[in-house]
Order: sequence, then C-alpha cells, then structure tokens
Amino acid sequence: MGVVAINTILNIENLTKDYIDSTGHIVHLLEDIYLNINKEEFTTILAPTGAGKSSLLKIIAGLETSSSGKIEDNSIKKIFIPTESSSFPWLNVKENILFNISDSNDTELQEIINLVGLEGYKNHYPNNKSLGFRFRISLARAMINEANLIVIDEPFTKMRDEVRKGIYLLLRKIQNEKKISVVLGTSNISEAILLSDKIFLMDKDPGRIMDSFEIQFADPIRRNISNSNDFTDYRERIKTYLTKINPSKIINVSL
Amino acid sequence: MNKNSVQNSSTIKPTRQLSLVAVFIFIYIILFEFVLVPVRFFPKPSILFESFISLWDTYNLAVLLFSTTSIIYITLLLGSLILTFLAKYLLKIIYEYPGLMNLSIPFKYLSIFFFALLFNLWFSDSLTAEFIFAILVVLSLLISALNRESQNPKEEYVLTAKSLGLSSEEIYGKVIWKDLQPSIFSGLTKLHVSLWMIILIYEFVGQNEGVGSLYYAAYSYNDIAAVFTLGILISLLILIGNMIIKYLYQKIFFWE
Repeated sequence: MGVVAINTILNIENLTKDYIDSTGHIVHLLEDIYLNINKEEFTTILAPTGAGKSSLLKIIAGLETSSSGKIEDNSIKKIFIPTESSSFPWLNVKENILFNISDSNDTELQEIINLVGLEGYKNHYPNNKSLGFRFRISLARAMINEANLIVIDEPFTKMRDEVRKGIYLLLRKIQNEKKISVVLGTSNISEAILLSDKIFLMDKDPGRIMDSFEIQFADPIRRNISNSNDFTDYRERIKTYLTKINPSKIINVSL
Repeated sequence: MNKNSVQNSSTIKPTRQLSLVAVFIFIYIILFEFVLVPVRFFPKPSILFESFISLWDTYNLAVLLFSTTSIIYITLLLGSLILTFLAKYLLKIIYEYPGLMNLSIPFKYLSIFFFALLFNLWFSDSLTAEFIFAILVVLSLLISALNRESQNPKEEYVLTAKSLGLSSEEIYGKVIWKDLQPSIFSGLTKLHVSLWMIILIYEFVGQNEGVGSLYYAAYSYNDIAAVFTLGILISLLILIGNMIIKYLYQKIFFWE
C-alpha cells in the first residue's frame, strides 16, 4: 500500500467488483469506483438498495477483495459494523466490548462505556435488548480497539425513530470528540445529510459513484434539526440530482 | 434434531407433563383394577406392582437400571463435551474441506439396528463395547446436527470477528460454535429419547447387562406384566431425564 495525502486516510481508484451468479453469468457489481475518505470526516455513501454499497463498504473495511483497482491507506485500523446486530448475545456488555482484547485499562473502558451511554449496564447481556443498545456496544468496541476508521453498513433501518435519532447524536458526538473517521452506507437522504460532512452518490447496475456533495451547515448547532433551511436545501438538491440522473431508482427521503 | 424441538415440547410445562402422566396412571388403575374385567392384554395394576417387586428382588432391576442409565447419561455428557472440544476442528473441516463430510453419506442409509447387531457380534456381552457403541451414536448424531446447523452461519458475527482481527480458527471456536450451540443442543431431548431406544435394542439383541436384557427375559417368558412394568418405569425415567435436560438447556443457553 502506498502513502496517501496527509488529510486522506483512504483512497480508492478505479475499483471494480465482479462475481459469477447462480446461472454462471458474470455480474459487474461495482465499476469505476473513485473515492477518498478524509481524516476525522463523516463520509456517507448514499445509494439505492442493491447498488452494491455493502460490498463496497466490506472492501473499504478490508473484509472483501475487489476484482481490480487500487486501494491506498496508511495502515489505519478499520472496524466494520454490519447491518444486523453484531454484539454477541452469549457475552455481557463488558465482555463484548473487550472481545479479543487481552490487556484492558479499566478507566478507559469505563470512560468509553459512559460515552456511549451504557453506564450501569456493564454486566448486562445484549439478548432481548434494543438494536440501539447493541449498536452502542459495537461503537464502544470500535473505540476500545482504537479504530481510525469506523465503517458502518446501514444499521438504522430497523431501529425505532427515537432510538435512531439518539444514535445519530451519539455518532456525531463520538466522531467529534474522538476525532474518528466514519464511513456510513445508507439509502436514506435525510440520514445522510444530518450525519455527513461529505456524501458520495452511488448509482446501481452497475454500482458506481456519480457525484459527491460537501455538507456544511451555516449553523452547526442546528445540524440535527431536520426542518432547518440548510437541511431542506441539501435534500432538494440531492433529490433533484438523483431524479435527473435516474428517476426510476428510489431512494428513501424520510427521517 | 431441529431448532424447535425443545421449544415445542416445552410449551407444556414440566409440572403439567407430570400431572398428565399421573392422570393416565390414575385412569389405568381405576379402569383395570376396579371397573373392567381382567384381560390378557392389559394386566391389573396390582399385578404390575407385584411384577415390579419381583423384578427388583429376583432380577436385580436396580443394578441393571443403574448400568443402562449410566451408559446413557455418561455418553450424553461425554459426547457433548467431546463435541465442544472438537467443534472448531470439525467446523474447519465442514467449511474448508466440505467433501470430507460427504464421506459419511453411505452410512446414513444403514440402520442403527445393523450396527447394534454388529457390535454385539464383535464384542459379545461387553459393557465397554456397549459404552463405545453409545458414544459413537451420540457423537455421530451431534456431528450431523453440527454439519446441518453450520450451513448458514450468522454473517454479521463472522464479519465482526474478522474485522476485530480474529483468525479463521478463532472465528470457528469463539464465534460460530458459540452461535450454533443453542440450535445444536436444542435437539438433546430428542437425542436422549432416541438413545434410550437404541441402548434398549442393543441390550435386547445381545442380552447384555442392562434393562434391555430384562425386556428379553420378559419377552421369552411371555410376561406381559413385566413388559408393562418396565415400559412405565422407563417412560418415567425418560420424562424426568428430559425435564432435567430442558432445565440445564435453559440455564446454559440463556441467550437463545
């Protein structure tokens, strides 16, 4: 892996991903993917369902290989959080967070547990707990592993509204406080605008990056208010762009 | 063995199951002791009681029961422990060398009765042989359950473990095996019932030390009362055994 620009922690050029389907035909899942992820930035890949964003995110996280193309990073530590809950139900919260870690610092652990809002739940088991609870465990695990980049694959769709909004706030808080880079895959425009510093728009059949938008709120405090002028402007711009490019591919705009 | 076997049977609470058995016994006593004229096919309950005393005193029922139950429960426990110990290696074979598991396919079509006969012919009247036979039965059924359940591992757990830097072998042992345990051991009650039947057949065929040989004696002497007595006794033991297994299952696999 070569060394990339100082502010860029991961750079992808001309990446493709092909696979052979059950009928024996070659399917071009991803084509001509160019993207870069910057340090301490919240990046979102916004794409319709089935565009191949999960595969792209797994490639970014180093869990899958691409068919061709170049991926450069500075040997950063990457942690992947999948769509379905990834906390192991046979381990309690503490054991889940410290999974595969041999030496742990109690003060640091407690600090992280407090930061993700799991204080008092150290010895609780995640089975029968909400998806939000389980996501907090995954976030804590990423932090204790000192991840430079957290790759998150659309985990919010099955969460209840109030839980999801709480998680949005938590994600931004952690990203700002811990200076971690985050890549999120989603098909929800509102979610992408509320959370991101940069949005990559992705098409499907084959999956490719069409454009990118820098998101900057005039009033950052109002970032989480979905009826602000900034928010509405961004949403309309992205919707218009997507409709122009390909009106048949539906992307969720609800929050 | 399937995922629902424990859940389905546990829909009836253990206390209700026992009450149901008690009701059946009560009806049997009333009908065949007091109401109906004694018939050859269904012995009077008082005769069953006498038969029980005779089996206990003359035929050493306690020792034979101890022998059979020891083999059943020790092999169930040992089989589960061996599977736990071997799980990560077995999963490695299942995922990395799937062809090896196919080698067992021809044996699926040979009945256990055939193997019971074979073992009895090879090692006549040997408790060790019976033990080895039982442990092989338990292990083959548990491994076949592992093979079946491992076809769809939870992708999210595997991806998370990979992302945290676990090696393939660690993923098999620490993640996939842990995730599969509830579904594999949910079939333990069914395996328990099957094992009782298999061991009784084994002992019946070889007239080995055990309750199966007592069945053989009862059959030879045309002793219907003894057959009934043993039948009721073994059903009660299986019922209690299943209740204990279910209790342990719920305690150990609390996350299911």
